[in-house]
Amino acid sequence: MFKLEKIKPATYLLPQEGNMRVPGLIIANETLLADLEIEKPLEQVRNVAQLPGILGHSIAMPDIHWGYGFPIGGVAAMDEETGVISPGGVGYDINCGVRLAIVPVAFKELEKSSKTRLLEQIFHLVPSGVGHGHRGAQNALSDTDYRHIAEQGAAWSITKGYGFTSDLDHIESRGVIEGADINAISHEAKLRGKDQLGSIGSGNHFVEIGEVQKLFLPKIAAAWGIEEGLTYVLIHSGSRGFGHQICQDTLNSFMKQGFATGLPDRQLVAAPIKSEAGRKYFAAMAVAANFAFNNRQQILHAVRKAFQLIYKVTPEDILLIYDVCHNIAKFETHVVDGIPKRLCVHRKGATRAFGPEAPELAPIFRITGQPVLVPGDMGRASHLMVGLGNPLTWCSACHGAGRARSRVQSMKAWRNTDLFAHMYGQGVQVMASSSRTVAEEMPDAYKNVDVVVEAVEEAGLANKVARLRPSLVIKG
Amino acid sequence: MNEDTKRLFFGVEAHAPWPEKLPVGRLLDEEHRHFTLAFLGNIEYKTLREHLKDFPAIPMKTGSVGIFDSCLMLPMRHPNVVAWHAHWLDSHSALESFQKILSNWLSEAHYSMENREWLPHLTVCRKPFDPHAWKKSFVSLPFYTGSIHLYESKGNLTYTPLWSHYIRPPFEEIEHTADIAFNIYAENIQQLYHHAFMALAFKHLDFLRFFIQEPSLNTLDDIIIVLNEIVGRADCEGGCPMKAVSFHGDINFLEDSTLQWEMIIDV
Repeated sequence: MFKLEKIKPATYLLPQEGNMRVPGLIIANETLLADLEIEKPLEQVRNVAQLPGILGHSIAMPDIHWGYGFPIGGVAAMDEETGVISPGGVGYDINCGVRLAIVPVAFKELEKSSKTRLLEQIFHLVPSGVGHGHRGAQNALSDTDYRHIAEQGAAWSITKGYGFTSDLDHIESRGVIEGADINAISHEAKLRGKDQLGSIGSGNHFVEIGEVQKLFLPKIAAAWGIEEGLTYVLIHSGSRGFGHQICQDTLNSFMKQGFATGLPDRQLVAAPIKSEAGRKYFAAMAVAANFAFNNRQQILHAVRKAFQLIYKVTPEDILLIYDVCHNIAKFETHVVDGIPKRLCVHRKGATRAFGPEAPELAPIFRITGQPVLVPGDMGRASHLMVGLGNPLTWCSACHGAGRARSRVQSMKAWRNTDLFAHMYGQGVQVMASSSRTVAEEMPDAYKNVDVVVEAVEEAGLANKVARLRPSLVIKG
Repeated sequence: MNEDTKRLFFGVEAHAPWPEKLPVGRLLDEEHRHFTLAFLGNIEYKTLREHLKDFPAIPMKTGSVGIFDSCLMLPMRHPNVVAWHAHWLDSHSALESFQKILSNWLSEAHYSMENREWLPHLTVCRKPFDPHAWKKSFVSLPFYTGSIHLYESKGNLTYTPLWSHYIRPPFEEIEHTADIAFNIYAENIQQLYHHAFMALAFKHLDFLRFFIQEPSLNTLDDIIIVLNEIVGRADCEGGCPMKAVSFHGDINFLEDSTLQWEMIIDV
């Protein structure tokens, strides 16, 4: 049992003990802490606190659940000079993330029958499911494409006609992580990724369409172009097999080099940031991150195309609100003991939540703070929040609802049920490549996202801007 | 016929990700599918039951794994069953060795045994059936064997165990907060790799195409690296629902010195 000490609203301290270099910090409320599954992830918080160079706290967001080495919903900032970088602190799906776009049409005005056609059209244009990408030589990425993706990030897709230059201001880091080096990537990774751009994949990835149901901060919503009742599009995907292979290649290499020695969990394997191995991982991770930005850029392009075909909505009118990474390590400057310091911030299942005046943000977000996207489950809701730049969490917030049930448990619970009919009865039309995925992703497999965002708000990490209610969902 | 006379055979349970649809025929229910180790015919159960006290020691600690690699119509000349041939993943199958031990033990106890090489196969259907349809629909399937039973054939494709010897499965899926998780059991490191591979193949049949024969394995991490190489290839060539086997867990020794590893997989 862990003894947590409440230090602020929805903020608990996991005291430093044993080999921990820093204490743990848990963002949660009583409802979430009552979850019996919290013990294992808390143990992981304690393990992460033992990594060299960690500063501040080993942090857990309210959507925390067990992950590989680091918990999902974990944040750890390492001193650039003395710290380590850990692939387990980023996750296999490098730059898995979410983007939100707003369609300038009230959701209720969309005709019911055409909604089904829209769903079918997107399902047709955006490959989903296991191994589904854009098959065929004309779509396969060449070495030159890979180099450009690494160097330019999402801008590469825009030069190829997928979206608009104005989109870039609405993507975290303008859709490019600097320091990417294509030479750090294996042939196997390129093979895995060659036809996967513009596809959602399987697991918990999705394209979701619905209604902006409720505004909590109308002024901020208005500044971002969001009104109650409008149609929204939420896209969740990452770097597909490409990112997985990069993570795997690095893990294999780190293990062979003995970087796991002395760690409480081999999955935390990490190399010094300044070492050759550490630099190589960052360079490779950045390529995968830039690949993922392109992936979501191309998916949004396909969704815009579908709206144009079915509803005659001009693609430029579908506004990208924001695109966030929630599996990433980034170099950021934060104040430590009163002195600005460059840190490598690992966010694994956590979202950057810069507040107003953060220099990296585009002008509109420098006024309001950055949008924080919190997908929930396909039945209840997702949330749009605004970052407050809380230094206690290195300006981070949660990334979703967090699993309440394992995939196996969810599968068992929904065995022998017509899942599509059930969801339709709840007002959500679902299309998927695999009914198994739908069973694993049923709403009750997740915590209630409303409770999760309450905790984030209470802890002062981000404020709620809008509640989004899903209606049309494509799963892998 | 004596009241105690029963139609008996020794067999071993078979488990596989059975296809939902199979061609027409008198299908054996999934829970009745087995490998026959020794067919005894109609014999007095009471006498055999006495002999069971001296049942030979079973050399394996876990079930065996293999692949159904072809579809057979048996017997060859005048077929009356459809069977799937078993190819063991371990080059020296402990189950094959045990079948010989069992057969010898029964012969020594004066039970009439067939004097021919054991053909490991699983009967899946009895006459009438369309051989062409069965051959055409066949796809390779992974399987593992479970406990050993003395079965009574009740007719109408129903078999009831009268005596059983529990054998630990080579793997079992467990509930875990992780995406997918298994406990893998084995007697040595090579077998641990085989059993882990088959656990993954149960989840994704296409995996079988990418099996790496006899890689150099000294540690658990070696196994994980090889499994991930297979995952990578499978994902590349046709997509794979599993993205990586995690560097998680250690090899534990159970009371009977069986190796155990908790394998978790990212999807």
